[in-house]
Amino acid sequence: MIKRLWKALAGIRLTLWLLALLTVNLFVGSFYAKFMPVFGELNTRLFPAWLMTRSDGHSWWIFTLFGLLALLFANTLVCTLERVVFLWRRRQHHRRSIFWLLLAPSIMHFCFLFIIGGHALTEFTGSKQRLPAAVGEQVSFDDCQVTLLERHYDYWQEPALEGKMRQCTATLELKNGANVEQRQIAILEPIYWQGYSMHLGMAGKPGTDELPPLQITVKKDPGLLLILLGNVVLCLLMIWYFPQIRKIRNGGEG
Amino acid sequence: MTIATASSVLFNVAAGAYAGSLFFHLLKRQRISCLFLGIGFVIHTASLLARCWSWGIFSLDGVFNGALFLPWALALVGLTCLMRGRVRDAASMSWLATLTMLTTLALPVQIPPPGPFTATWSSPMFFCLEVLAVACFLASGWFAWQQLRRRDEDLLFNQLAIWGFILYSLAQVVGAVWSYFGWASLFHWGERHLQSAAIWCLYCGYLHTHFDRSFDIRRKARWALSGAMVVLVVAYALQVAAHLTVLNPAKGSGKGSGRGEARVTAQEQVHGSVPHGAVPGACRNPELTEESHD
Repeated sequence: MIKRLWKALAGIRLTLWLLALLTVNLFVGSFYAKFMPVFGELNTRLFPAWLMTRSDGHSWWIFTLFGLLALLFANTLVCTLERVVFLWRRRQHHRRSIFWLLLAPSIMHFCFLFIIGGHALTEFTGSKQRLPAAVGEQVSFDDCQVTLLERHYDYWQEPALEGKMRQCTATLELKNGANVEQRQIAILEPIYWQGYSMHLGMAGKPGTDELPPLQITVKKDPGLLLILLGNVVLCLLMIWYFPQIRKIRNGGEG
Repeated sequence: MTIATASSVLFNVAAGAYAGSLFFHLLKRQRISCLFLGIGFVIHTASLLARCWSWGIFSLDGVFNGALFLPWALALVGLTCLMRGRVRDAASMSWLATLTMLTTLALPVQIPPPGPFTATWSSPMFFCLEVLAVACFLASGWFAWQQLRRRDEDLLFNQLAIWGFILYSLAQVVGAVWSYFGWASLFHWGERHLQSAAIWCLYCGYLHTHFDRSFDIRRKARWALSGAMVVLVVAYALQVAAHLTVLNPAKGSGKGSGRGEARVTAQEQVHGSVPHGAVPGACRNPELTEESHD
């Protein structure tokens, strides 16, 4: 039974079908996400919390998406393990540089598994919260308190950019028990504190006589390093692998 | 003449050069066609460089907007073919460069002003890589279509699809970094990110056809052509349509490709709509525009 399942999962044809179905699923999902704001809430809540309160019949594409991704994960894992075992047994037949070149696609596939695993870790075990950033107001999460002490807006001085905002910064007071500290936060310049990352963003459109309202996203992202590591290694290997393999196929040295 | 006007004039001249390249390609004068393609590319580069200073400061915002940058990237693919001795293929790229250039001239777009969410290396790098990848995918589809019309085997479309996939993957990584710093998330549950993931899966599938013996060159060419059609609609037409002045008449003013009116923020380019409702610069009260505190 396990052998049959393993064999079924190890097929390249299954990979092609899964990738084709994922493509269609993602396109369909993109239109749901465009027209139904409820899916935007996935950006501010973890998937389990969203699932319990906000999912309904329109959420079918998310379940099929996760199902297809789980199958692709298993398919990739099985195919990659088979390939690695195959290459390892034949390692004496190749020069070391060629062996590493042949192994590179398998490492890329492991990177892909890291990326999918990292996203799953973040979606299922991380934490996401959006807090309004009003001056003087204190917000709490876990044992931490964050107070926004002041906001600061910079505008471009150039005539062509009159009235256009250049940057937006805020000073935060961060409190955890007896530990109190002040930190500066700005758009695109998050801060890291007590295992959380805090990102300054805008909460809505400003009125004619109002400054744009701000919000702070507080996030715990346990999958972040896995995703970044997987992505960086994957890209570096792709840049190295494809030209090299092409050179060899055209008769050059490895 | 302002720098912005100079940039627009150069853009029009470059369009003329690309059109000249297409004219000579149709006359089967491939070398002259390539010469015009090269001239157009140089002038187009000058136009894009001038655009960097069009706001009165150095800014790459909008320089890599698909409508303005894609014809340049397509011409670059053509010139790369020329450097590899593929004169006819290089000349045939004038079709794509000219058509995308004329589309931009006929349907002007408005580029976003620099804002707090784009003041980072990852923003222009993301758009640059993404448009280069789109150019490779479109060129791949173009040569796949030509492959389907003849009997010999030319894998140029395959090489372009591979390079497109590499560039697209790099764009996704850089975009994820930008998204993380700006919007606290590597992946955004929104139209734009889901469609990018779909295109990535589509070409990932294409790469894996190499390992299925039933996929001969014609079936691979069909996949590459279908992929290019999807990219044309999703990564070019829909993205450019979001910036078209004719479709966004009420969006205020800003600097454009010469005739535009609408303004689209970088957030809209990335997420499809403003994720946090942010419109930098919308606050126009003069008392609040100078380093305001509250």
